[in-house]
Amino acid sequence: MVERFGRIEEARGSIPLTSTLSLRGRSVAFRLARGPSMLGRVFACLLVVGLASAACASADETESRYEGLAVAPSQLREIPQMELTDTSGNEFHLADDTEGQVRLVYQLFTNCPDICGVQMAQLASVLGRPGAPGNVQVIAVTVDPDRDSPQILRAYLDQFSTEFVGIVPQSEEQLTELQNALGSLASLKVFPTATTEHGEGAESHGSMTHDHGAYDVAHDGRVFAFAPNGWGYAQYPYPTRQSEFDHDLPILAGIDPGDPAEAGL
Amino acid sequence: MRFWCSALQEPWTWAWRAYPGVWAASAAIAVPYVWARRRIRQSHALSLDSASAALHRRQAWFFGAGVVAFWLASDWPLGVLGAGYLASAHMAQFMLYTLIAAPLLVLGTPEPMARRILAKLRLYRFMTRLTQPVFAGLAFNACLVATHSPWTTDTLRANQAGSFVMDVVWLISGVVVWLPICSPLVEHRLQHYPGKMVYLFLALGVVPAVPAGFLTFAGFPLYATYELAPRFYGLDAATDQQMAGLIMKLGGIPIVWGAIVAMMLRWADEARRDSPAPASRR
Repeated sequence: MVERFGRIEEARGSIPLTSTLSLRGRSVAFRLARGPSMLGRVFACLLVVGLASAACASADETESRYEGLAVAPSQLREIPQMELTDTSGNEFHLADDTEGQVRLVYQLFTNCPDICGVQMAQLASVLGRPGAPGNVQVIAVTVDPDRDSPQILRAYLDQFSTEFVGIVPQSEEQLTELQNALGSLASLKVFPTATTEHGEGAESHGSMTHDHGAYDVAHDGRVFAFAPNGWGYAQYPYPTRQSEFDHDLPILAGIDPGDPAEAGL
Repeated sequence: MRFWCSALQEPWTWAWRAYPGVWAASAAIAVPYVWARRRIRQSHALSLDSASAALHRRQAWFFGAGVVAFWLASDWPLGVLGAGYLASAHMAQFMLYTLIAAPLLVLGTPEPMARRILAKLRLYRFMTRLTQPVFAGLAFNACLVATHSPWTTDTLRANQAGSFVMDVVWLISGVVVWLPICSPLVEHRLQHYPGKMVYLFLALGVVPAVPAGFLTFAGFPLYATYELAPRFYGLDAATDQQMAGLIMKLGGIPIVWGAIVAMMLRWADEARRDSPAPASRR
């Protein structure tokens, strides 16, 4: 995972740097024409290195069609074939019930103080724009089923869009299974002090009392995007700009359900 | 405790926060003014007639109101909202600094004080150049465009020092743009009303409409700071940005056109007074 991020970030970050180098090198080329000095040779070397790096960077750039994090071909995953439960209490088959659509799977919890609401608002804004592809389904899975009842999750999602599907895992095991199938990091309850998530009610340590209702959940902040053919080609960590979603969603939506995995690379 | 308002990356709450840097900056404007006024009053104690005394009182009120406007724009809650949550609040701050605080501070500065400050800082010649309408208008609008570019805003609003610099630049550019209209030094002011009105319209009415148009009609949120901030009462980033564009476009109209109308009335009044009385019939 780290390796994959590293590769993508490297590809993204190297482009402006090498462009600058090559520009500098080009301006130096005029001086070289008058007579090469030691400084001139150094700059000439820099120019060559810069141009070579720029060429490599542009080669990397053409590898990915996505502005989000493109998943390496060797690490492609299909959308999990899992039977889950939506906020109406109905069974929801993650793959079958959304067949032919772009599936944007995001893990959240309604007490999230920061990124969950932002990511949901971003998706709602992008999908609410005129011309946005119609075959996109946002699937929000709570990582805090203890506090996020189906009603609470539904009310939370309705602030952004009534079209978003809310999923409440029925057990820790089901949530873990889904996270493993997505290739996501595991979520973790984070208590304000050194208490654990096990045990009932308030727990006392010395003079301090800890309320088990007050905890945070550390979770994977990526939106996992699966194309209509079921393959997950791109991921969108926080912060992803609306313009990036807007660039990628039509590409993903344009992949046919019957297309092979290579079609979206 | 934080020195100046900057982007916080945490959910908005109405819990009050202290920003001692804002208080210090407000005091840094107000205290020297009070001290200098006392000195001027002492040195002119015997020579002040009632009209001059009234002018001095009015200037004190103007300056006080300018300091209050500066403080309101910089401190919690507007300062915090503008630094990290809402592009519209950011724009409201800009309007407060440049269209309210700056002209009030200029109007509130007595002439002897301005002369003494410029002489001490050896800035008289520089200010004479800067208050040329072309330079003042260009300087203000260059600051306006530069400080509203997404890169500048996202970079400066991310930290307290950058945010402080942005607010100070706004205030200074606001002062500069108003000097040709109401500088305490008569030789730095435009002398004729038509020139003043045209200058005001061009400097404060025309150029700001361009970035305002970008903000209003942009396809996507331009500022990462406000797009990716925790939402303020569910207000989405695109609507917030459109509001910012409208504030920039329309917010200045009452002030700029109010000033133009006031100048027209004063011009008409002076023209009436200066015109010779009609010859009486025999």
